[in-house]
Amino acid sequence: MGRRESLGTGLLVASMVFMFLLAALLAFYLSEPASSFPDCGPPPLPGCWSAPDAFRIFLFHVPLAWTAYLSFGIVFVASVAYLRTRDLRWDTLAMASAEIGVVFVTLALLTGSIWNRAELGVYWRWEDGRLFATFVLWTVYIAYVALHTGTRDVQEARLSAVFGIFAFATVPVSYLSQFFFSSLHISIRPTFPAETWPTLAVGVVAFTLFFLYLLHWRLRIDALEFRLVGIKETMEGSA
Amino acid sequence: MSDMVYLYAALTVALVGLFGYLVYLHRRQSRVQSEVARLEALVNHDRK
Amino acid sequence: MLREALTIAAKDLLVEVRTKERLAALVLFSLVVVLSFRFSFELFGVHDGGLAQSHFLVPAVLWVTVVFSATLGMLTVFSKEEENRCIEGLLLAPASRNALYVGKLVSSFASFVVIALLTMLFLGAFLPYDYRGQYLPVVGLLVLGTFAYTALGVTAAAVSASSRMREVLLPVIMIPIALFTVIVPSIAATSDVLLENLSGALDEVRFVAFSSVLFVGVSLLVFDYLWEA
Repeated sequence: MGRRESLGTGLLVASMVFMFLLAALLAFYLSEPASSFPDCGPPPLPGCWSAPDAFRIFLFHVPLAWTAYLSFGIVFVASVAYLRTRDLRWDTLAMASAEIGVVFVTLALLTGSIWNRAELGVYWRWEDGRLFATFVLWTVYIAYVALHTGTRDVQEARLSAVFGIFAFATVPVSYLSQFFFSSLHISIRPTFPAETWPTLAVGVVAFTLFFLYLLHWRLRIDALEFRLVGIKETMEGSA
Repeated sequence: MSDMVYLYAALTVALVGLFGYLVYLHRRQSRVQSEVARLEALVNHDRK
Repeated sequence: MLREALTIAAKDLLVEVRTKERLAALVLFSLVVVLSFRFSFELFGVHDGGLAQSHFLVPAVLWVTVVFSATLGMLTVFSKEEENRCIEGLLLAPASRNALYVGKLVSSFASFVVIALLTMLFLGAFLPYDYRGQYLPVVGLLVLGTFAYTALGVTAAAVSASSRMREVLLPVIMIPIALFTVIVPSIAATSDVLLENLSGALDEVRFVAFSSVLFVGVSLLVFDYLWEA
């Protein structure tokens, strides 16, 4: 147990280091004039933004979204692994990862729509391919988490695994939708000037480490809950 | 620069969200831990 | 494998044609849904031929009805086998699990296409709208969309067949995945076709086709693992 705890602490410390670095970089950008983000007033033209300061939202919105995709990828891999090995631990991993992923994708959606409001005046545009795609993702994985109804039996695990596999298949499908839906779904995405790349990288690393820390903690709680179930069963057995 | 408002809003949302989940995990863990401790005490008491 | 699949499909369709019970229930259901929409739209004077935006409404009503009916139909895809316990026999035979999927896909698809076409007929009767001669493209879209939905549905039905909460689980599994990959593109494509924006419709058709290939592919890969080891 000591080794597991030190892993958790290690992840927490590492993620906090990077988070601190990210915060420092963010603050640095805050004090600098937004030279690479030329201001040209609404409507946004390619190459300049009507809300250049709000652009910095992307410096933590992108890591949030990326971590969400990572977590859903883990759900997919764990679902496949469960179907092949029937080891319930894969199912536990999938569930934990999905739960954290839902939190991250919700935050990504919220921060993204705040940026949208700053840039375009509206919180949401259904025509935007990427917003649409992320909303799809959010819906699907909320459904995945909702499938968990109390005790986890083999049947439910099998169901969730299949759903987890199909759910991940919607990720590339939604991503591609912005190209298929031609005129309808115009997506406004920023291009990131080179000077933001280090900050983005730091952000991605920070959030990934933080995600791993959360996952680790969540799995430990799951292990505890297993123990609880085991104790209850032995109590009922001996009673 | 009124745009900064949006930046601070987004930051707040992100921080509240992440911190909120941390709090949720902590509460869940302490709930399970106290339940486990209680039941284990019961089992040990029964054994004696 | 193909021969087995066709045998399974033929058996299912034969049962369907003889008893007609499932088909009749689905036809009735689709009629009821169309009528519900029709009476809801009474407020907007649709029966007078009014409502300029019908090219938005009609595809949506059409597809929502088809999806609801197909979901209802999907609930019973495996129930006969479950009841008669003949599913164990089916699974014992070699290479038969994929045949089971394909066979069920074919038979369900056939039933649901019939329902979809009947729905279009009901819509034409109760929500009159000028298709401007675009009947064949709309039928084509119905066929494609129904195929994609059924491809996903058979696997979802297989997975939820043994659950007690099957009636709730099946829509919960299917709708989130199918909504933006099949249903919404199909509605958009139908709307585009009615507006004679064929290039836009083609984009969406490609999307639904891609989704159906994805669903069939993943189902074939996964179907083996759905049953008790």
